[in-house]
Amino acid sequence: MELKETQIKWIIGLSNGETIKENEGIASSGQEFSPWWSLQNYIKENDLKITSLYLAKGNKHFNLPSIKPKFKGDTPIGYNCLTRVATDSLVGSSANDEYYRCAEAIYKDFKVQLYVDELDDNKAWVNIVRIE
Amino acid sequence: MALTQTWVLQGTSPTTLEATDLLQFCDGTFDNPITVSAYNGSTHVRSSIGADDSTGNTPNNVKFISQTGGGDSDSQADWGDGTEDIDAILEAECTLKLTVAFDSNITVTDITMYGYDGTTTTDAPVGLDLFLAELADTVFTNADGSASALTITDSDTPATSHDFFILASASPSAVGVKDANKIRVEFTYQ
Repeated sequence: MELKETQIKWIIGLSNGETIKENEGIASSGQEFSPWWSLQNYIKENDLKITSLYLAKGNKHFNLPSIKPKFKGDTPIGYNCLTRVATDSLVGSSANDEYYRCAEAIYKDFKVQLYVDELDDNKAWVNIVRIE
Repeated sequence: MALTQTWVLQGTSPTTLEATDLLQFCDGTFDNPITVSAYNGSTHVRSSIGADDSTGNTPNNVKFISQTGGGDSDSQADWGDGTEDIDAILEAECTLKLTVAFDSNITVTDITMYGYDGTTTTDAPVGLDLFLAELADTVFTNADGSASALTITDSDTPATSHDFFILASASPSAVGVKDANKIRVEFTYQ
């Protein structure tokens, strides 16, 4: 079975001032690597760092703290973005399938995970996860 | 650009599980019930109209024998050669093959698999015990509900296709068809 294409995209700010959008430019689809791993290769080859990360669907933006965070928050030391899938497709219909985009701001001892529901982008959650 | 997920009941030839199919555990014959507290003598793919889709494919069957009765307290199962420790099973002998694929290289991590009652993922399957293991595991996981899920090894080298091989065995704890229960897999990709 084919799972739905993600509608919520990541948008990244880089230390050289560039803004990279998922499925565009160096992170376009149809390359050897997925948009996220294409971005990682570009960052490594050009000795760059991510300075901000947010998830977007149309005009809806879901922001993580940047390296110059608003509201006097702590500065993340790294970022990550992933897609979480939960599916029953082995048995029965896919009515209970779940898809989430997750953006992570990584700190020294913990990370902040921002989940947005792909099936209902009015729903978002934040987790704090201790880094072992 | 979309993710595809394919489940196959392995055998002499593979049988792909479609979205409306059931993975059926039987006593050795399609549609025949397993005695309460016994384990599956055969595994099949049952279509939505009740046909045995795997009938010509000699599907694999892995039958739970013991949780810790093997060498080094390994779990034991019978997949057609008598009782053996489950870490001796070969890739082609596993019950299920799960393939996660994308049109460019991705990683697949944080993978779990479990059975539930078909309604609430934290609730155990109703009227049966589900035992799962990944290829090379030494013990079965009694994967009843999300809190007891089988953890599957990360596939963290970017690739366009990732395969996972699973041993699956079930035992009814009460009389009756248990087709409301479901098997669920959760994973992360990027």
